[in-house]
Amino acid sequence: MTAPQLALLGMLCLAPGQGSQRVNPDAQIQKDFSDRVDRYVEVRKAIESQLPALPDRAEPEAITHHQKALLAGLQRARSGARPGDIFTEDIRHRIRRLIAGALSQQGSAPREAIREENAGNIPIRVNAAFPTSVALPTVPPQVLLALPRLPEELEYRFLGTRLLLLDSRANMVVDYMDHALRK
Amino acid sequence: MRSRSWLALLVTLAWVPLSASIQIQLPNKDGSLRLAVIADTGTGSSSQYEIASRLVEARQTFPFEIVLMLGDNLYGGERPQDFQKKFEKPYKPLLDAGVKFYAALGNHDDREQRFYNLFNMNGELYYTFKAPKQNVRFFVLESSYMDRKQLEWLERQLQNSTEAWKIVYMHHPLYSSGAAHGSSVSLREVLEPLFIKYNVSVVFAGHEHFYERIKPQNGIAYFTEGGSAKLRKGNIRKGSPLTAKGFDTDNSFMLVEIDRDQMHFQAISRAGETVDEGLVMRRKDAETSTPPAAGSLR
Repeated sequence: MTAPQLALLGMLCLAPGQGSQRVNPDAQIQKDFSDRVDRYVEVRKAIESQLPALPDRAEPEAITHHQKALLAGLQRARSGARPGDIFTEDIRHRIRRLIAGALSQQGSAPREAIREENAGNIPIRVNAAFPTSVALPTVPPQVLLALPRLPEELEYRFLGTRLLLLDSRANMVVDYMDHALRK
Repeated sequence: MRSRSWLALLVTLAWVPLSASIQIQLPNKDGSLRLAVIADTGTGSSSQYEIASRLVEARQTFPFEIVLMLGDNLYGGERPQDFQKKFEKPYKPLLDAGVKFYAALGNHDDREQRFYNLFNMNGELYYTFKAPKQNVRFFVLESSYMDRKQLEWLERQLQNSTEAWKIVYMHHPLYSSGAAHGSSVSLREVLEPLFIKYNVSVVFAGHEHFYERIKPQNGIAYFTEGGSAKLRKGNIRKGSPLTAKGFDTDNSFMLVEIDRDQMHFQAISRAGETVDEGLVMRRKDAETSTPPAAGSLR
């Protein structure tokens, strides 16, 4: 048998069988995350559709009323929500890797940005309002570019070493994960 | 009797800085764009109200049409009464006179402020608007959350802008000599290349509770004006190579006038004193001219 024939035989032996599928595990985890986020957004949209629409130019009373009603509706609809419902174990591992990767390549600036006016690991709960007394910690662009994209209703925010998934319009903690930042 | 006279004179002199009337140092030309710049205002404190009074006073001789708010528009609670106490009441004479406020969001601001009619954000976290008649466009950024979507939006807007003046403002300063915060380096890494590429001439920011004019960086003039209600006394690092002019001993605000290729600026303290003034030349297209040298700021 010639060398090219041997190479061809080797390739045929290594090729996957007809029924098997090659799946990128990270892509699968990311899809699972997107699906969970999408399900949240569906619930949210259903609640918001029941509320009077907030115009682009509103009075403070209308803004406050809309935010409170949205928050209350979400809290009712998600009364059984628990930490990890969206940030599952697999997703947490993936996100920790992505954040570590983004921070390792960019010097100290992004890490300093996260630390700035970061209130630390204060008590938070899923479905609770983000405290108005706490400044919103900056999320460095380098980290945002590395993390999975979110729909406009949601934001990532750091609080201490936790990563929060925040509904910015309801001002509500949707989920959070501990130890998002390695020391 | 003599000592009493001296005492009276001393008391009078002590009051002079607080009662001095503002001397406008700007050209005040017909047809120019006149504006004011304030930030970190939303405290409801006496300092905020005193700066607001100075704005009203300044407008009597320098009739600005717009006010740029660089974020932290409402600290703490954001109930309807907070909007009144921390915004509507102090600036009522300006609002009544038809002055328009254009707000950026700071890290103490609820994202829902974007819907507040008097902030003119039209429901957007970041947005752009053109000066009423002049060849000037403003780009207002949400600097605490610079994601891919916002970056792509900014590049598109800068690319499509045909105005001669491109002015960016946001809450976090890309350059700062503040000991409490300092420069937002991670933000600078993604934004400054766009500013250079698309000929942004001026960047305003708040966050640091003082006034600072930065030495021109890559041909761009950077200003921090975060002392319009809060104050971090003595916070500008002494000897900082970034500082062209700093003022951190009292509250302050800025007046700005854009006339053709020139932007005149004046920073004024709560006492009515001019703490900085000067001129910035507009950046020209990168292909046709070189960026202005450091001497373009006086």
